Amino acid sequence: MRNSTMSRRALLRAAGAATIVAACAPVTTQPGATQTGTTATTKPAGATGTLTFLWGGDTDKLDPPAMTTQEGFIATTALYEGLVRYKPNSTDVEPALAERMPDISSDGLAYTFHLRSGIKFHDGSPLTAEAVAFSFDRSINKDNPLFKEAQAAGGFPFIDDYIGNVVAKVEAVGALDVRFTLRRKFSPLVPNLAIPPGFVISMEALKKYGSKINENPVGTGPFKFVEWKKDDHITVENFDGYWGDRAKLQRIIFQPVPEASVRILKIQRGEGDIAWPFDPKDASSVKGKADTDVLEQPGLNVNMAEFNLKKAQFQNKPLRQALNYAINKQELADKLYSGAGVPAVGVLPATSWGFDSTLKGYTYDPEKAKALLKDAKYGGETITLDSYTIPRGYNPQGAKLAEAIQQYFQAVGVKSEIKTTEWTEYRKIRRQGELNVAFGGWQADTGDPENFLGVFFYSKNQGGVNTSFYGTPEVDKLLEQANEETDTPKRKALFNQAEAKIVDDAPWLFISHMKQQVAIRKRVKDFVLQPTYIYYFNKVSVS
Amino acid sequence: MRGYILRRIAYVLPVLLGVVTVVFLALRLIPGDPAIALAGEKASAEQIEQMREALGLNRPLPVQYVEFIGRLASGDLGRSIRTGGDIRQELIENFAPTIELSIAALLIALAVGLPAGILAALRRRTPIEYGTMIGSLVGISMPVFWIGLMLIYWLGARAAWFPLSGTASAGLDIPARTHFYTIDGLLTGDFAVFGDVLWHLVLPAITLSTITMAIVSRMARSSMLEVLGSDYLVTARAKGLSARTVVLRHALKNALIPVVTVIGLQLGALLSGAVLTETVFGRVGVGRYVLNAITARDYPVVQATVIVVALFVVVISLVVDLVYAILDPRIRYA
Repeated sequence: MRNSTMSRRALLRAAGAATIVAACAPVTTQPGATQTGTTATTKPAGATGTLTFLWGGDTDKLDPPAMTTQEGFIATTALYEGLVRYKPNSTDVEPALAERMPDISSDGLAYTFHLRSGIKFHDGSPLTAEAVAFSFDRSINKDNPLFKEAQAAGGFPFIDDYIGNVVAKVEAVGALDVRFTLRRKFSPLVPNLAIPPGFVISMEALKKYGSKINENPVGTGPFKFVEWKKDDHITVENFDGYWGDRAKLQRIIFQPVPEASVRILKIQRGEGDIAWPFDPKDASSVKGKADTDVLEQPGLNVNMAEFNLKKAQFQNKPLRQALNYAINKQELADKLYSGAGVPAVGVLPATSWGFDSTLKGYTYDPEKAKALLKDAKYGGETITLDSYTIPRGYNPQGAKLAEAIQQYFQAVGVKSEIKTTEWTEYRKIRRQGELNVAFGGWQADTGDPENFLGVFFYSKNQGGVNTSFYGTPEVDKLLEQANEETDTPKRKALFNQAEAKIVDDAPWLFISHMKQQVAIRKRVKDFVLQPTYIYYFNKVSVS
Repeated sequence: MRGYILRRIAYVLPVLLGVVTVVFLALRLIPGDPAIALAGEKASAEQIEQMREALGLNRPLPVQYVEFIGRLASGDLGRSIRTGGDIRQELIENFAPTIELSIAALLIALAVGLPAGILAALRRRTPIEYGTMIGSLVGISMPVFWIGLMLIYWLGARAAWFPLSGTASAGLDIPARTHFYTIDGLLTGDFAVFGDVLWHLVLPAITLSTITMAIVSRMARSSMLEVLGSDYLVTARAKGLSARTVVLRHALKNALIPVVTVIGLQLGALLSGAVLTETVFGRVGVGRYVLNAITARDYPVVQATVIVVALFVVVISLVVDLVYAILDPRIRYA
């Protein structure tokens, strides 16, 4: 690591600069180093060091139910908490602001959470059942004046999917007891409360700021908000009134660096501590080095191509199965994705608690594919592969995936053509059912299998996210039962049955799951990956 | 002169109205539904429809246009769909760093390009002329993002002379008074902070300056060559004036007239070049701001930014025309 003095000397030597140059040295480019700027923040006792987290783009917002970006999910998790949270590197949830998991009424329509006592928000106001009810009412009650005010600033795009559609009201039923009354049984509610739409915002701050809470976040998290300079950085600082174990870091700086290669250079040079995401091809330049490394695991996502079942050409199960056998997923994972892909057996990745290790799926078998093509009476018709143009988190190679799939199809004698469409237009016509074999994918927001299987294969979601237009009474029933059941092993069995049926029907080409990868400096200790990308910084420290 | 100025100002209004109309229509006629883009990949059909209604996109185009012009006339640029923020405020915050970067780039371009071009004209068929011409060809031909990445790699990562990205060091507290980072840095009263900001400006400014530098040097050379061959300079030399006086007092002023026009045009080009430069260097600025808005189909932001940039360019052109008229009286009587 170079220090700032060295940089200045080197520059002076190189440029032969005049005196003015001597004043123009960077204050510091080393994370964690003391700076000589005008920041007047106090260092909480026991908390040391600054962690610099680099990402590609800035978040759109910092209002938990209003934002739509993964960056926002990460930043607000430092500032806010929900009634429950994820266990370390798990999709299982545990109590957070709630003292224990909720009491569920016998009819499954009332969830009562008992809050921990003595918790304070960053503004000093206490966490009460009334505050929790106020926070949720703002985001789910369309008659709430704060809800209406927020609409002018873009509203709460995802709240309905996770909470709003099923929760009729949230009310305080005691000083520390808050009850969620549901319209119908919906067991994914509890994990849904662990993601930002379920985070609790200070009632006092909401009354004070309204939708400007976006620029003035006030939660109960281990870090409090310091500053957000849009497109430049977000700074949060250790909250000395935190109810749990105090965080070890003094501050975290989230900094957008649009160029992926520059993010890696910054990690190498020590101008950043954690970089996410980055091009898998760059992994070798930081993996296992003296100061840097890569943390990786299968991501909670799926990369696929869906058959448009509205079209007669694809209402042919042996054809769909044949095409699944035709693709070499391992080769794609290793070569196209530079080792950052994991072959998909079915829909759910191994990081989901609903993952079925007994599921067989479609292994690469060109001969079987050819045999099935005969059964399908495939007569040489051209299949159109519809692809989007831009890289996605679940498919960083964008349209190159379609080119690879075309070659696999050709190898088993299937003719295909590739048609690429601009991303926004692509999503529009996909929903309208105009595409053929349409590439797509999903990064799950919660760890619940419903967040994969329900959204893509429940018949009532056709034309929404379900753009293969799949739907069978059998799968619908299994998914409905899984949503109503509260016993996790029983839910898993129901999801597994549904997934087995879906995989057998082959409405998708099941391709891969992308690994979750972060480049990290070794001075960072106890940073734990989370399947949901909702990272907890409580225990993280820098040496 | 007054008539000339009024005439030029009168031309500005239809140009601006044209820009406003073209921007309004172009954004709505290109493929891609902003409601889908904004509602996100995971939105239901119902949510998309709600978003369309909230944005007023379900209303007829003429109605949207009239409302848009009305708001614009009252100075209301609206709210960003993506961030929910006030666009006027966001534009102020983002325009200042871009103007700062553009001015720095222009200064570098002039400081290098002008002397190089003039020298190339004075030292014909020497390595100076060949070097300037080759250098300017390279400057025009190289993509800005590539130059930026090369500078980051060699001068930032390898030599560690400059920071790799950003507008200032992470976590440095610079109260936003003017939104010009160098001025705000200076206003902290801490030279180290000012130096830090300046240091972050160097590589992006060099990157952005390359094309302008090349154009200015070529223009200065050709203009100087033309002037050097004029009769009045032959007369000046015949009068026994020194070569230095001939060049500096008689040739330079006339040679710079076309260069002034180029500089004016280049200011607009620098603003558009800032999109790539700001993205490569991760700097705050209107280029990145509008790029994010385009990606998210944030219509109000794209509209407002294009209109403000157009206004900026039109005003610069006006100023250049007026300066031109002052420098060359023949213009105003044309």
